[in-house]
Amino acid sequence: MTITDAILNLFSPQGFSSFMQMMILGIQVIYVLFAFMLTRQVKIMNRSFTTHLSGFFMFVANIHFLIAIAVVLVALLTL
Amino acid sequence: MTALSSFIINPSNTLYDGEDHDEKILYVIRRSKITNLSWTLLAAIMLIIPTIADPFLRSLKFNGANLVSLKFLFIFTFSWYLATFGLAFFNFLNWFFNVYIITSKKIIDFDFFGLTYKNIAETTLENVEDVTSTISGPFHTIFNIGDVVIQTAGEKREFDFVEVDDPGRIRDIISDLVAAKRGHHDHN
Repeated sequence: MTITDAILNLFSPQGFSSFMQMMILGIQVIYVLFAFMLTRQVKIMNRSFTTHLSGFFMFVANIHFLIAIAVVLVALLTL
Repeated sequence: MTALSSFIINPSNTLYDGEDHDEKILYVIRRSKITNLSWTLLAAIMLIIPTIADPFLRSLKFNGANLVSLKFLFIFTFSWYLATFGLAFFNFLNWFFNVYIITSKKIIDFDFFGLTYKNIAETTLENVEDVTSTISGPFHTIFNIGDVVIQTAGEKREFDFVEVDDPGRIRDIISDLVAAKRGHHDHN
């Protein structure tokens, strides 16, 4: 398939759908990186300033990161 | 809940990195809660958007067939809610951990911005030279929010407590602590 064919294919329903799927997968992968960075940031924040909520924040950040990974996996398997 | 307050006196179960064993945290101060309004509203709007966008995306058809599949719509909607939660959590953490701490020995300013910036500055109470509080603008006047600027003799010349509740009270607290530390004991 040439580049011209690929661009023209974007304007077909299947092409548009594939393009959207690739877009959302790309955004989800970037989001996983954000969620990972957030877990590291929470760890640093907790070390700098410790309260009785520190464990809860770390738990939420980790769950958030795991869900972000799960969403990418589900998207890869189903889309 | 006290831990989520923007002005905490003698907080329990609270430590900071570098705290001395003979040091006591007297006050933990954060930006006023009202400064969280913008991202809270944004998160609320983001929560509503799927309920509006979902019927629209379902109605998109090409030659009688749905342009957007239900599987795609489900994953997109779930990702959207996750991103909304991520945005709210990230902004909440930035508010919660950007604190100003006044201890029996020091004033510490914690700055976390974004995911990669961390700056912690501290000065001893003896180094404080001048404390000023400012309230400017109608919004800040209505809610009694303002800045407290602390001039020091240390390497970092200025500490800014930004958009804190009742800045006049905080200025008074710091001035009294500094005076007491210098042995003046003149609290009024």
